[in-house]
Amino acid sequence: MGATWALFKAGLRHQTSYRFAMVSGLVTNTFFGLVRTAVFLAVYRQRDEVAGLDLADAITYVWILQAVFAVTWSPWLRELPTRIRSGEWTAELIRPGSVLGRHLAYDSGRTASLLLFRAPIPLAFAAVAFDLRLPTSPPGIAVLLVSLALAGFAAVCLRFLLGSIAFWSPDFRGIHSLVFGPVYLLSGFVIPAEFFPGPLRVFATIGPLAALLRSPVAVAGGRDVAGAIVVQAVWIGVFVVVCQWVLQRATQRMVVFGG
Amino acid sequence: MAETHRRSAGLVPHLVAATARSFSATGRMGVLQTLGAGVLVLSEAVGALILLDRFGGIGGWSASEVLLLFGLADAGLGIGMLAADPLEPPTFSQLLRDGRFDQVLTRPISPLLFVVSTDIQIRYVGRVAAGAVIAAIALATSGAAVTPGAVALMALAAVAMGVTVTAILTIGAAITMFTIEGTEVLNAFTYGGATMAGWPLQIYSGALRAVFVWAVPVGVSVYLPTLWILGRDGPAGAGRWMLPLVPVLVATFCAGAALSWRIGLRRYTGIGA
Amino acid sequence: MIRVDGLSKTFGKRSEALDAVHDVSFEIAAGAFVGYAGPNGAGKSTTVKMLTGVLVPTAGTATVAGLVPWKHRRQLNERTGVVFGQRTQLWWDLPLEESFDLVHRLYRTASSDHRRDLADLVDTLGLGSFLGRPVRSLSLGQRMRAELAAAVLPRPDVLFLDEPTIGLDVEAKAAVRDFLEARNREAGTTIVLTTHDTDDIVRLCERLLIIDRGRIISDGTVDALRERFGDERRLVVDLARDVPLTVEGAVIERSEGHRRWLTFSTGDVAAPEMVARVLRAADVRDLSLEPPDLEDVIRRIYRGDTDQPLR
Repeated sequence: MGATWALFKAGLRHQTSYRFAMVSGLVTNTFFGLVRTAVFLAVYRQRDEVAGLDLADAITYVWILQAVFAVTWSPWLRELPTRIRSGEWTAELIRPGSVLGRHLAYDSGRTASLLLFRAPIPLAFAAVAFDLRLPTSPPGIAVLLVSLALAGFAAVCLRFLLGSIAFWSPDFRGIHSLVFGPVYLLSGFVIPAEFFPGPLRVFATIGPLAALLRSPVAVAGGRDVAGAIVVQAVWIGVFVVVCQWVLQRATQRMVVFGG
Repeated sequence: MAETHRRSAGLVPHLVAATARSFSATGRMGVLQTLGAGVLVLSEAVGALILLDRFGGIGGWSASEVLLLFGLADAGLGIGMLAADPLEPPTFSQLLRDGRFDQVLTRPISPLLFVVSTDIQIRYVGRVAAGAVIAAIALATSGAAVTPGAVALMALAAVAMGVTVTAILTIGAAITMFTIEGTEVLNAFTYGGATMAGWPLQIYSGALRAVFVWAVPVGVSVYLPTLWILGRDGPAGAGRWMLPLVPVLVATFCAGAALSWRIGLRRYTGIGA
Repeated sequence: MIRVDGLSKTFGKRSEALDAVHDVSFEIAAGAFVGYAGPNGAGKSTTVKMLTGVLVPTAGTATVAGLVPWKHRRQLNERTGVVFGQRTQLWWDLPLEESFDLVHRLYRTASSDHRRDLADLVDTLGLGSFLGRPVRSLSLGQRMRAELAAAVLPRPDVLFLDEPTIGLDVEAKAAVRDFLEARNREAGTTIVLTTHDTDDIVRLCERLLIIDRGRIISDGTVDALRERFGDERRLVVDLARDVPLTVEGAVIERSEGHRRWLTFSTGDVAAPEMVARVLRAADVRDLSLEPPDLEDVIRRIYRGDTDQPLR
């Protein structure tokens, strides 16, 4: 536990050293938020409510999206696969303790620093500038923070799974870019999950990708809070099991092939 | 000066051809990345289409009309990234820090042309192609007349957008010559500009619109030609009569970008890395 | 070929200004092979960058092949070849032969000359086996040979080389040196070689400029440098036991385990007498007497051991 905590803190420090990048990232992030907001302001002139979401829900969706965007699609997405391909990551396997545990702790630390430094500013800006639907009671705020943290951890797991493709294929960049579009769309980064038709809507609201964005948006808006948290918790459980399984297969493979 | 520019320009086809050959040698990964760039654009278009379908259009425009803008903006962004991806701040910053830019400066050629033509990222062809396909389908289903004039206007839109994006990246590189560290801020104008240009300009507030019409012509380069194709008129400050201004605004912006590059270069050679 | 007069370069604001190069003057004749040495951060690269037009000086003038580098950079670039050590001037992802073809177009060399020169270079530098491979897949030694070929293909009048042998194995170093020597002798190319490697200097350079903290502190032939410290000798002694050793008339430069390095001047104490003194002072298992090597000489010059600059 001590080692996990130390790695988490190291990851946190690692990321906070890039202050310049953080500030410029915030400016870009806020600009994208303004464009998305303009789109929703325009379409909600035509309808009051679509798929159970009103204008305030939609604007809340936009700014929660801006808050978790960098956390999910973090700049170091390619670091793990690159280290796997270069053979550098093999050194991790011979250290004592849980390989996966160490990786998840360190990446969670880096993710937490993004959540702490990048998420609150666009949210605070939007809360002042627009009508958002955010919880005001202390328990409500606490649940939203938990949901954001779970979304961050789900992203850590997802990054590991995407990165682990590199154990099997040198073309991981190609595979990543091919799956990125659909994953981006179905995790709700283009439109709210509720807008999808039929089975896609079911997948986007309670499927594995819902843990990234849809759940915190629902929690912020106070819609089906318990369900949204359960979706995150269940899928994170599944992610961790799958990560462990993938790592086991990869280790066997490396032992056999001398990776 | 003019002499070295002519020579630089003459070299570009050879660099492009050589890059294309080296790309085909990267095999499956290059193909997957190109496909991926296209799939990302298509995914975003599908999202926009679902949204527009749910609401029955936006700002008085139908889904097809909006997707025409969307496709042209993405094709234009792709053209700009094809032309100038190595100027993106993180990439260019790396070039400065590891001294490769000093090496470029020992060549008898325009350093700007040399840098952009040396590392062409063919994968953006996927973005251009997907944007073009979306725009073509959108035009066909929009009810607008498919005439040679409309096709010419579409080409104008994509090229004007591409040139503007190239100019933005040039300014970014000039700034990087001062800061050395790369900055993400320019993404607001390139990727953010393309996202913005993918929706009709009338939905934005006056201030935001003015910046992207008069300062950084991302807003007008796609929007104004599209107004003519669709036989529509724009809001105050971005009316269809302004179409002849597009080349002027884009050219002025490029002149500013060229000037910034020269200032950056003077600073770089004066101060050093 | 190269004329430098009062060249200075100051980095940073006035309050924390750093004199990278201070009032440097020298001349290099056409066809010369000159070494340019100095500790890290002494101002070597800054000088070379100013002479190639990459940096504009704060004060002073310079001409290379009759041109002021920072004013006529592109014209000058057609007549100079530059190899910046570890950085590549080749196209990373392209096969090597395509890089050469692009160099040919970049400098607009005549096609027949280009073909002949390239065939020669492939032969003398042994490039044949990897011409079709992308540059990124070449070993360091292969790449450095390729860089040299690319630098001389446009038939430059002046060649600036920054650490061309760093990190190379013995064989590759020899190949690079042989090539440079021949190029200087046969094509008459003026070569300025920045290096830490004293073997490079001894093998190649007839003249050595030494810069330290932005100032030229020594300028002369390699032989003159050696002569200057000609009466210096070094005695390497292996003691039977690890005990302190003091010998009158000698300075203990280093000690490592049982081994001691002593330096002394034959002007003060004759060598046989010094050996006798050492044998009297301690129980010695082995000893050897060495002439000063250039590296020592240079190190002493950096330390300011010379009574006056050698210019």
